[in-house]
Amino acid sequence: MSKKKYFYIEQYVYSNFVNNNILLYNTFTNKFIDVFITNKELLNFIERVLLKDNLRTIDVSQEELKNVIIAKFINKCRDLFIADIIESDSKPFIMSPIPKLNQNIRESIKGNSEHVLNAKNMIKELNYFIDSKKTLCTNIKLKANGYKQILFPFYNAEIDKQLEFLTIEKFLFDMNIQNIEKINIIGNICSENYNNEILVFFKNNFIQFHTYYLDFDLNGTFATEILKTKNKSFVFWIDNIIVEDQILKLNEFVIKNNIYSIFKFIVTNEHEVNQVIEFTNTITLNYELIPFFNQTNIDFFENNIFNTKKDILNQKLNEREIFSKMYINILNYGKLYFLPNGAIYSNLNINPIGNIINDELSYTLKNEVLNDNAWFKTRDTILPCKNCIYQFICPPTTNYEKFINKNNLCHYNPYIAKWQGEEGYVPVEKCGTYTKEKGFVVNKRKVNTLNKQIWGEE
Amino acid sequence: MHKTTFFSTEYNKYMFSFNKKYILLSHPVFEYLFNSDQDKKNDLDNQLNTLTKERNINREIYSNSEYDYYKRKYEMLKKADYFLEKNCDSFVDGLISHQDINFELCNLRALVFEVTERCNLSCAYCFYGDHYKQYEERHDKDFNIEDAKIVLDYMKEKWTSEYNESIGKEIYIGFYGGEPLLNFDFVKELVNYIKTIQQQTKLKFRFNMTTNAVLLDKYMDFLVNNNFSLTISLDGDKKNNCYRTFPNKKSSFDVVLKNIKALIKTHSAYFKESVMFNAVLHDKNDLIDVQNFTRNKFNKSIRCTEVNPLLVGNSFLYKGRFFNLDKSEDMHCFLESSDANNYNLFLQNYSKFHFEDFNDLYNYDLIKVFIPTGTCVPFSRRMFINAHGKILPCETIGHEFSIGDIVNGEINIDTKSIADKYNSYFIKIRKRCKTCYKINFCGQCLLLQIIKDDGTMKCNKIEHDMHHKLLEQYYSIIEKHPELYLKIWEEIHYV
Repeated sequence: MSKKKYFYIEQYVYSNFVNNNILLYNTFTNKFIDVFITNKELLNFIERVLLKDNLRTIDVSQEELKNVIIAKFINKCRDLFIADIIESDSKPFIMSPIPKLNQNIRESIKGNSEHVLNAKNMIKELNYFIDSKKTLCTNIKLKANGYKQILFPFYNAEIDKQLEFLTIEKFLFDMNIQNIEKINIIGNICSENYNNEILVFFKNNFIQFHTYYLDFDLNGTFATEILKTKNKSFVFWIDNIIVEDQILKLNEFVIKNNIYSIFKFIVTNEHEVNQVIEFTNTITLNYELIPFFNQTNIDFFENNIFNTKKDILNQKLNEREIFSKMYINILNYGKLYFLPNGAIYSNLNINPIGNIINDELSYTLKNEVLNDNAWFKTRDTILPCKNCIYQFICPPTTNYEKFINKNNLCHYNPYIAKWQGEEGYVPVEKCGTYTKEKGFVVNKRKVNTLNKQIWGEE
Repeated sequence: MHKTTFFSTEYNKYMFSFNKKYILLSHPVFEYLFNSDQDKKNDLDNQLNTLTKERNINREIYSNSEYDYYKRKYEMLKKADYFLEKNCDSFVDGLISHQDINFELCNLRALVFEVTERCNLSCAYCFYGDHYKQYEERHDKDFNIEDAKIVLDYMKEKWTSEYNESIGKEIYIGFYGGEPLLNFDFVKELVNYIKTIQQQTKLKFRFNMTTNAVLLDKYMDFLVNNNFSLTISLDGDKKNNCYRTFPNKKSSFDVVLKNIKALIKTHSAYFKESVMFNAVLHDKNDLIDVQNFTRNKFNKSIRCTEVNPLLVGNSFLYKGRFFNLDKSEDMHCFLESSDANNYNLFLQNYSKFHFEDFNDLYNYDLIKVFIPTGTCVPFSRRMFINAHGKILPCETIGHEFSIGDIVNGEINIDTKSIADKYNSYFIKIRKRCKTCYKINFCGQCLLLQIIKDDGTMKCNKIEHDMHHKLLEQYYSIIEKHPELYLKIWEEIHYV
């Protein structure tokens, strides 16, 4: 047997190849190669390496090694320890990083719909919105849309009846409640509409109460009752009206009673960010800044929230996290939301998947598990991310994307493989149009023209 | 602490890091630098001298640039903790709770009754025969039908509880022997009883039976009508099947073959869909011959297992051929064999790409703790009840390990005492597991293979200096047949 040269991609390297654009990401060093390939020989070479049956290992011919462009590519891969060349009498075996899912309930449900109830063990978090009409919050946009982006209390004048917890209890009867990791109760918990049945039902679960900070009555019954329970915590939502005295009192209350709490400051522009930083510099507070899209502050989002290349590639990703993103949306997975009118959602920006009054748990779960609504909303199911080499490196889609009606909150155009600031960059919007109904629709002719201009004919 | 293991196939060098769980191609420079690091030479001058000396030797084979490149690559891997020793102590610290056992009971997928101890054959290697001592003496006892109904009533409660997460999946009711068809009245009555449970609940049942097929001609209509999944024990052609004899030592082969032919003739669709074969590999048969026989004669593959490891002495031990994966028909058989399952387990445990289910994807970063050895959590695979009413985790386990019983119409399964009993075994063995290099890949059952007659525990522990052999064994084959990887990875899913 004569020795051959084999080119192989290392097992710890994540690869993605979309429309002549390749990403090779070294998960050990976070260094990467991302190139748009125009050379036909190099394209053939890469396609051969990435052909599934070749397991990312191929023998390299002398002609290929003599090709300057291929040789340059190989050298770059070797420099970054992304790939290597070995001389051997026999092709080495590299276990290609193909994720394997042993039990895929989505597939088994297609075979037998009764399997759907087994999906109950996928439920991780229940979010229960209570009626919060009586509130001191005066921010109209936040009151109207806050719940769709963040777990801000729900206010809707059209829904005037609070769902009785008994109904939820009945709905959840078939579930093994102890498996649920977290319960969020969102709304004006100090109002008379809230009762404590829920605390009894979830006595062994971790409950987090989300409330608008000015609505929390430190002298009321709830503040007294809550001290008698365990595994409870608070989120106090604070808008641009910062009443210092109330925050200090709330902070004192939670510290004194050893209750884990977090103060979430909702910010819509840089000025509010500075305001919060200035305020929190003077006190010891467990706090977070939470952006809110108010339909007029897209610039704030573009400058502060949209991902840059540096953001995406500096994440120090766990290899298993990348695989996980191929199947599920980690931010949405296992979450159910109940509105006071009984509607059940897997994400509050899309249609409900059931109604607690009329539907059974199995029906609701089936609606979610068999569709790419929220739990399984991965980036390869949406445009333009479907065409992007960073699709599984990038954070999962969030409520912001849905609410803003733009799937890619980033400065990258996958159709021309260019980041903002790079020569030839044009925004994604120039390659197609966003519509409310269809999402992003690509204009293929325009994309071809742009690519020819940027990358040349080859 | 588990170190990186370097190993070689005939043509290539590899290394496996316990810490990063990657098998990478190695280079001799890596091994040299790794060993140098291992020496823990604190004296920098000494270390430099050693490096210079070694480098002079290597220079004949490796150029300066090659050496420097792999030294840089080694440093990169080292920085990424690839060569870091893994502390696996907590890996096998798992214990089981009574809730775990109850959960498994509520999700029990296979309930197997030893219908009768009686058998119309007297196979030489039978583990109820003279060659095994772990099993109680046989008294030709039949299973009491009323007790069986009580077991089913008890299980009905479990299967319909909120802990059941196997909704819609078929529950297998197995009829095992002896030869189960010798107690056909029991089979018939229990099948009818289960049908009533099926009507009352949403539970779905499937019957299965392992038979020697001697009485198949008499009862086949019933088995077909009730869609039994039927496993026929047959060790190959007449010569290969020589140990399967009647008590008068006469071969059973002709009778069995005649009955199988009758089944094919009258119920060909059923035969095609629901009949399987299994064979015991012993000193008088051959895997390839057995496979060829069932394929040519019945157009079926056959599941082969070697004689039970509890066999006394070396009698009957299989000495025949194994699969030749260069042949496509052998590859096909291999993929249906338990060897393919072993490869699946190997690939799963020596890579980072395996996920059990969607929850595993969600908890991608969770550090898992396992129970030591390859022992199953009781009832996670099946419940076997012998004709005397003793409850066992499976039919191959010695009767002294029973985990419950049914006596005087009362079923006794004390989940707490079962958990305590198992945990006492786990605590005793885990110290040994913590330094074993097969810690992530142990297939040994405590009850079947590790606990000896005198109560001591002995297992095939793998030290670091032997770990490379295990890796070489798997990689030598998969390197020659890389197509196995995709086939196993994509086609084999265990339940």
